[in-house]
Amino acid sequence: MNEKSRTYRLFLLGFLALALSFLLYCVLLITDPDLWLDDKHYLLATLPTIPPVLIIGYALARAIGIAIREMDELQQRIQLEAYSLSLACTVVLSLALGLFQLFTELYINLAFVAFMVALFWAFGFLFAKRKYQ
Amino acid sequence: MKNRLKVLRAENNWSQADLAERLGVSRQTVNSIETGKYDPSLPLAFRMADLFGMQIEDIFQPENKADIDT
Repeated sequence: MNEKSRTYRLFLLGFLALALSFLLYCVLLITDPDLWLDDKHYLLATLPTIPPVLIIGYALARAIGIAIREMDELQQRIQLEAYSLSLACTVVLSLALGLFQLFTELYINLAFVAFMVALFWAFGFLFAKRKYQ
Repeated sequence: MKNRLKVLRAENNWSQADLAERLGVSRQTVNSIETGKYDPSLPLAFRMADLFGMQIEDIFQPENKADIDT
């Protein structure tokens, strides 16, 4: 079995385990409706979702590794430049937002950092691709 | 760095896609090398030299020879 097949199997295993853990979670919620009200029970009920999420995360990391290894050297350079730009811009913007939040009353949800990473990566990718065309 | 890739490719009647397939890279990589926007790695340069049956220095030359003499 090659590395790609093993990664697909890992994804399958992770998603199956995740589905099972959600099923377990639903059963727990039906049998004990007060679960929502108790913080500790809520945490305990969500614990089974952690291993599948870790398996999926590991499979995702392997899939990204395979995709990068399959690229030729110019594509790898383009991706490197795109990620570098994305990292630099996200760090600067996150710091600016953090400072802004520190010195003002305004609350900024930093949950959209992942969106910023993706957006800056897209800009970086287009910029680097254009540069080598 | 200057290179004779376009000339050598034309001599063999290969398209950029043909050369890319023979070298195991994308067509964009071949195009970028031909236009001088990207300098290939040493392993890729060796594959090119091997493909054309030449030495690396017969395909690639420095932009300004004085730069390497100093």
